[in-house]
Amino acid sequence: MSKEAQIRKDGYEKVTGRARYTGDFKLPNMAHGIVVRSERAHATIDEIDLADAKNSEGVLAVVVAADFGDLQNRFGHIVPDHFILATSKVRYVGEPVVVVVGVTEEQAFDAAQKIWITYGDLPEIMTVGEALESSALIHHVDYSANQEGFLDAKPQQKGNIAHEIQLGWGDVETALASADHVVESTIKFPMTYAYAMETYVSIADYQPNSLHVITSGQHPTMVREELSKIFKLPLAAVRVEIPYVGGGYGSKSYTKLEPLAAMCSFIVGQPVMIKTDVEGAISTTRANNADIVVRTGVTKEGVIVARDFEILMDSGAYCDNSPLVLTKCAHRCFGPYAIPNLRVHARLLYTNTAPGSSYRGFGAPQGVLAGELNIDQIADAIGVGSYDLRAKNLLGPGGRVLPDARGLDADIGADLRIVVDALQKARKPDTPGFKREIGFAISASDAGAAPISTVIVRMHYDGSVTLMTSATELGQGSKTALAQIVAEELNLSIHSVAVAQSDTLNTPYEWTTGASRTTTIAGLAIQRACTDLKEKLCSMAESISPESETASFTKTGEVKIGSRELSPAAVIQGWFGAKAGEVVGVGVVRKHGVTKELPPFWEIGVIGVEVEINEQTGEVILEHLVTVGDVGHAINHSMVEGQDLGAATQGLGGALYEELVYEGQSLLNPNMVEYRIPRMSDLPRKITAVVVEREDGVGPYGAKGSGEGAMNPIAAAVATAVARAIGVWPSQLPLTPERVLDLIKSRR
Amino acid sequence: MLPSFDLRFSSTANEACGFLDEDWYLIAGGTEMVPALRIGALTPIGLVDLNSSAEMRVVAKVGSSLEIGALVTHTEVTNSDLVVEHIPVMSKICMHVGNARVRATGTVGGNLCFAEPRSDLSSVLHALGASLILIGPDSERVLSIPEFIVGAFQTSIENREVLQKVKIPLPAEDVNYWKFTFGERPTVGLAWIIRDDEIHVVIGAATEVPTSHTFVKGEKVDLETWAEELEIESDLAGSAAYKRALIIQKLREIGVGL
Amino acid sequence: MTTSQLITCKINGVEVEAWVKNRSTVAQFLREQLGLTGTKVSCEIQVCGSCTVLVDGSPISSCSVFAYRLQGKSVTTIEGVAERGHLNDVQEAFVNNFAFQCGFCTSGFIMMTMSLLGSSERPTDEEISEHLDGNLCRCTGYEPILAAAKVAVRKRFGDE
Repeated sequence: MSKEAQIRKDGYEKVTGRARYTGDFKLPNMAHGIVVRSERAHATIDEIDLADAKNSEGVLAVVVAADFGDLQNRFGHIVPDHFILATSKVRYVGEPVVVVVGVTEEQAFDAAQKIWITYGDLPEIMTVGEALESSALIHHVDYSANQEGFLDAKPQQKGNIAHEIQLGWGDVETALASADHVVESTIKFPMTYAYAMETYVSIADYQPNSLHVITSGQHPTMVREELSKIFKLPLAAVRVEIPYVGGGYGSKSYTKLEPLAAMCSFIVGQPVMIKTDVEGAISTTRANNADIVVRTGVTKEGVIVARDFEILMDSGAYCDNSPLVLTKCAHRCFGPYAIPNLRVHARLLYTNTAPGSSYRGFGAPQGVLAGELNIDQIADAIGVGSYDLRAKNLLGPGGRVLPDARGLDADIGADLRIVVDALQKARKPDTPGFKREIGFAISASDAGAAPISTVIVRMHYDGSVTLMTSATELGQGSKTALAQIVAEELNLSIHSVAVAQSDTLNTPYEWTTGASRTTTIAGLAIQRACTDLKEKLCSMAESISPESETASFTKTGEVKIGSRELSPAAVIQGWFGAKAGEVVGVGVVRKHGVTKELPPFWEIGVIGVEVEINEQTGEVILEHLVTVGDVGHAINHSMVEGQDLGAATQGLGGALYEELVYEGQSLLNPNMVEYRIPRMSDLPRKITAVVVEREDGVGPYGAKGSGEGAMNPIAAAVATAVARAIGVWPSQLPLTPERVLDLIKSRR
Repeated sequence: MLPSFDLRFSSTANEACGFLDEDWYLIAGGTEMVPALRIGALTPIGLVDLNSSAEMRVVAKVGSSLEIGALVTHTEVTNSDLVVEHIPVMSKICMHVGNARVRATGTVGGNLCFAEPRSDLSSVLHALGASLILIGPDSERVLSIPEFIVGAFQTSIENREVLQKVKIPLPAEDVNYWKFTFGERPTVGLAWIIRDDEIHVVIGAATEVPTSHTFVKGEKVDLETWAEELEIESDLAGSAAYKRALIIQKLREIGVGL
Repeated sequence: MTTSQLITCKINGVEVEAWVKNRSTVAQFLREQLGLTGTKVSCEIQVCGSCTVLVDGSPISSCSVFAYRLQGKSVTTIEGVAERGHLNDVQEAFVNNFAFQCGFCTSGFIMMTMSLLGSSERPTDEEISEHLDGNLCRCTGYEPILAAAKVAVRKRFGDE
């Protein structure tokens, strides 16, 4: 593949403001829905006074759950526990209870101010600890019963426990009892908010037997599935269209606002748009916090004999995809090491907080923080270097992280060597009042989700191509990367490749856009579609050839038949007998062949940091950040680096700055003044971004996935560096200046 | 979504007084008013927009004072030749308030009248001995900063009064300013003046109101006990203890209590 | 009792006369009344800068300034930056330096960079990053945005 920097296809649109996002659309006769949200964390809804609102100017409907008739009022792919609108009770502050639909947004808003809800308080359960102890139940009905499960998650609700997993092998207790050293770490990973800068917005247009939704989402086919179930429509009758998305990061996975918008459109009989502000977005979903205790037993030389994890994860009031996040956390916490005895006990708890669901890393940031911090604590305890300890235990290429899973398709040891060398080479000495220290961490995620993808490549009669895929451009650059693969396969200029926007009416099935799967899975499907296309062109050339000759597709993008070389355009036009027609190539990926073994690839994360700590204020600054993108093959180098820096920066947020804080029933900081995300002034002073291409993946040209790897280990790397600098191991993130100062004080 | 409100326009402080009926508020840059309306913290019937007042948008040297009109924006303060010449510290601190958009829009008067504790301007003006000119329907009052800012988001402005300008006596004392910021707003701010025998400090941002104290040079002070008296709340930027620790450290650094 | 104001202003060089509700923000006026949807709304609390437009050359948070205040003023939005479809130096630099991913913050960053270039003095590197520190980006990690801004400064003021 060409090593020349390929600028993005969506660049022009995005720098001119012409790129359209869901909120930029205006359908004819579109009404606006304003959501009225619960002010209680846990309460019965005793009365809703709608009369004044209903009589307000411009109000088309004031929608409550009772208006849904016999349509199902709940959704949820894994567990259908999620009420579209609260029915008899509310389960978190911010839960949608009423939607006022008005001709204009102002009219709906003004009417919404006139709605009064009377609640009957129930005991509120605000933490996982309270959820375990309380006899009060957040969900009285077990919605997990009789569900098929989803990928690796088949939850069984028990009280306030939404899901529970036990995984492992060997005999951990015996191994720990006879280990030379056992080191225990306890760490809390904070509740964070993905803050996709485009907050949730959906437009729905319901007509009898047809539902059209335009939404800021990641997975059009999953949303289609959900809506088809709710409205009892065949899949073909549900159209989910996704224009440009202003950030997803996993927080726009599965289904969010769409059922509510669709219900409103169903009731008023015209298109309805529902937007959220930041507070509304946080009330829609936030990322899962987790409390983790890990014990690891090692020999005195530092060889791991056993690892034992106890994970408590907070699902919020509805579980969304948290059961799968829990499962993945359990898979990703213990690391790509040789572990003869393993036990992971993970529980997902309902609480009366905003629904928790996936964020970049999908359970890995939480688990890896615990697992890797513990590894460094061990290194300290037994006097072995952090690198050496890891090197002793790391699995090499082909190693089995999970017994029934694909062997490791990466050389993590080599990646780690790159990071450590880069850190040590650039190390700076302490200066008065400032301590410096390095830290690094690794992760391996069973990523890729499900390898199910269909892609269509349409070649026009001039030889240019349109790529049809439901892999969704979220900003990660899928449009460009996938077009680059088409261009490479067919030897076209990238300007001759158009990419259709994700739209279930037009673009074929894609499982999801997440789990860093697009390059590998959709990429493979594209290669197959191009192969199919090439075969068809050759067949066509043969059938219009006067001689009986065989045709083949050349490396330069021509159809060679006999002694002639024809352009694909000439073949198509010749075959149709006019300047007309098109040829369609189809490519399919399923759990078969190279993608039979799961995961389709291991997503690797290796991060190194040098931190500088201000001993007076506790502020932590990154002197140096090293990222390694072990991606097998980089379709677009700059975009891989962009993913790594972007992911690392988001992860840095959870490490140093970000935390949603509940006080009593409500959030203290549901806005961007009080919820602090990384800013330009937080840029590391030096960034070393390395892209490693060993062509060890099953994706195109040896590619694997990119996008989440750098997020997973950064919190652990930072926490370790801080702990080393101060001499005290933290038990809670983010490491705000005050927490760091407290650590410093606790040592003195 | 913002709520609806009635609107009146005025170009002088005197005229504006007359427009300020009950539940009517002044609006200048709006950088604090608009967020307050958005969250429903204020629910006015109407706003009196003063932005066309040229007279209130002036920085002038008048006699032995520098006068800054209430509608002068932070950016205008930063770039004003008069400010740079006579009170450079004000130029510096206005350069670091919020972000460039807030600075271009937000005004000195709006900042003072909103009395958000987590701010820099009031502490520095306190240290400079600034006076505030308030125009009422039949009166004019002159208040110092501590007389004006009486609590978090609380000023002693009366009904129908308009803050017209800020007067700073010249030559201005040599005020230094330091702040520590973790999030969007300053966590702790300290203005100080080193005089011959004393160190005069004004502590702000962390405290409910800018709080001044004069330390005698060379006199030993138990700063931990002294700092306990400061009215400081814990919040997401840090506990009261943490903020006190930052203040104490900075005081020591500038020579207090040694 | 008034609920709306009649304003006359210039939007990207074109004179516009319109009734705006008192409560309408500049962002709503641009996006909903004029159909100029390139300006985005995100945090609604003046922190993220996605809504940045220039009014008489100064950057404002259009989500938090009332539309009636545009009376007599000249506004530049992202739609007014390219000339007849030709990207200006800032836009080119953003494209060439991969200074965007999802693009939602991009209009705001471009307008902020333009307001920086509006002064006659060359901004120092520190001034560039301090100015742009007032905008948030969730995708890129900022580094390519800063690089693009520096390229645009070099283009405008020449190499140092």
